[in-house]
Formats: sequence, structure tokens, C-alpha cells
Amino acid sequence: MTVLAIGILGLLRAFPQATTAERTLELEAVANHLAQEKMESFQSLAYEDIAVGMLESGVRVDTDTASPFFIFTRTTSVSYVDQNLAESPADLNLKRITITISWPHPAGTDTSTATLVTIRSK
Amino acid sequence: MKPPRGFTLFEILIAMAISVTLLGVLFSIYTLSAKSLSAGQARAELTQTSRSIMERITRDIRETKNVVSGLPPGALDPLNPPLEELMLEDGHSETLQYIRYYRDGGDLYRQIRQYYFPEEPQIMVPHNAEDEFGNEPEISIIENHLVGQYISEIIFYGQNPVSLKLTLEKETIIHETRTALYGRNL
Repeated sequence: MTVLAIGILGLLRAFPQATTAERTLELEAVANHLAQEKMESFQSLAYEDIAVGMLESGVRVDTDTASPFFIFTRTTSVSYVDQNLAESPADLNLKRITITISWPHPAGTDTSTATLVTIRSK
Repeated sequence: MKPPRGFTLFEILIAMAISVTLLGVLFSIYTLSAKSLSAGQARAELTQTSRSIMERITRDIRETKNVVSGLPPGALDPLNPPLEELMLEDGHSETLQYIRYYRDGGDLYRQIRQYYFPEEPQIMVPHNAEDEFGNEPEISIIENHLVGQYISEIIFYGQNPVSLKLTLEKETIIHETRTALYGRNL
């Protein structure tokens, strides 16, 4: 009976974990789309028009509390990089754009993130 | 005197109660696992479908030279609401033709269409062309492929980048996503 009870309890614990894993994957896919959404806005800008520095930090993707995207926050930074893609204090005609989308993990324990990085040249 | 053999009625009742309880628990686990599996499959399918739709539309918007649909600048103006279908010039083809994304029930289709005048069917003309009498061109459907299922809403807005919001629904699972797509040739 004890063995059976342990087996059943173990099995029952697997269901929420499986659901959490599926929800995590789903939210990651949405976060990637939201990061792409912001990245695309840089595509329309000329190299010179892309500001350098921390452009936004922890900004809500959607301010409407009823929106399914309300849980996501976005951080966008742009930095100069050299040819080895190491950060550079001076403009060497290369900029790195980093967009990070964060959201609370479905298990409620932690924060998950998805990051999109691209390099723009002059 | 011989000791009594077999089980008493009380022992049988106890054994039956335990068996019924165990069967009940096992049945609940089976039902739960079936529900969980079904929800998991639906969620994975919707996620994958939304990803593939986004990629398909991204490729077309990247290459197009002209978005024919008059898209509103934003999604929130009730006087100029987002559009539920999108038509754009096919940037992949040498021939003048158009790609149209539209929803039919829960299905999303990608249609390729050409416009021509009956007098010169081999010459493709712009969608808004008129002949000398002011007649509109005929439409020839070249392709009409299903791109995705379970679509409960798809809306387009913004000029460049073009924003796309997608809602998919299967059983009790709802998957909503949104992105923006920049056209290189727009």
C-alpha cells in the first residue's frame, strides 16, 4: 500500500510539471515574437539614428492589464562593438542591439527571459 | 473443533471498499492524464502553428514592394480599425502578382492572384488598373494554400513595420501572440 501510495503521488506530481513545461515553451515563443517586434523597429532606422546606451529597462510590452502581453517586460540596450564583437567605448561602425523580454515563470518561482541580439554596421 | 475457514463478511466488505477506492483513484489519474495530454498537445500545436504562420508572413512582407491593403497606423482607433486580411505585391516573383492572406472560419489561407483584362489575358496588370471603359480587371487565382488552422483572430496594422496579432484557439487552450515585420523594399 505504501509503495502504491508513493507511486500515485509521484505520478500526480508529474502533471503540474508537464503543464508548466508546456506553458514555459509557449511563453518563450511569444517572448521571441515580442522581441522581434521591437527589433524590427530598428530595421527602419539608419545606423546613425540608432541611439547608444540603455534605451529602456523593464518597460511593459503592453500597458493594458487585460492584454495577454501585460506580463512581459522589455529591456533594450545598444552598444558600440569592435570587430571581435567586444564592447568598445568608441564608434567603430558597429553597433550591437540587445533586446531582452522578461516574464514571471509559470511556476511562480522565478523570472524567465528571452534575449535577441543583432549587429548593425554603418 | 476445526478452526473456521474462509473470510468473514466484514473482511470481504473491507477488501471491497479498498478495491473500489483504489479503482477510483486509478480512474481519476487516467482521466487527469488524458486531459493533461490533450491540453499539452493542443498548446504545443498552437505554438507551432503560430510560429509557422509568422515565418510565412515574415518572408512575404520582407520582400514585398507594396502593401496593397490600406493598413491603419495603430490598433486602437475604432474609426480606423486593424484589418483582418492583408494583400501585398509578391516580391518573390518576376510576374506581377499579389499575395492575399485571409481567414475562412478557423483557417488561414495564402492566396496568390493575378489581374488581367480579358482582351490581353497574358499581360498582368496592377490590381487597381482600369481599361479604357473604366472596367476593373479579372482575377485569376494561381494558388490558394492553407497556412494554419485554429485561427480565432488575425489582425494587421501599421505601415512599416507591419504589425500582426494572432489568436489561436483549440479546445480550451488560447494562444495569443504579436509581432511586427519590416519590409525591406517598402
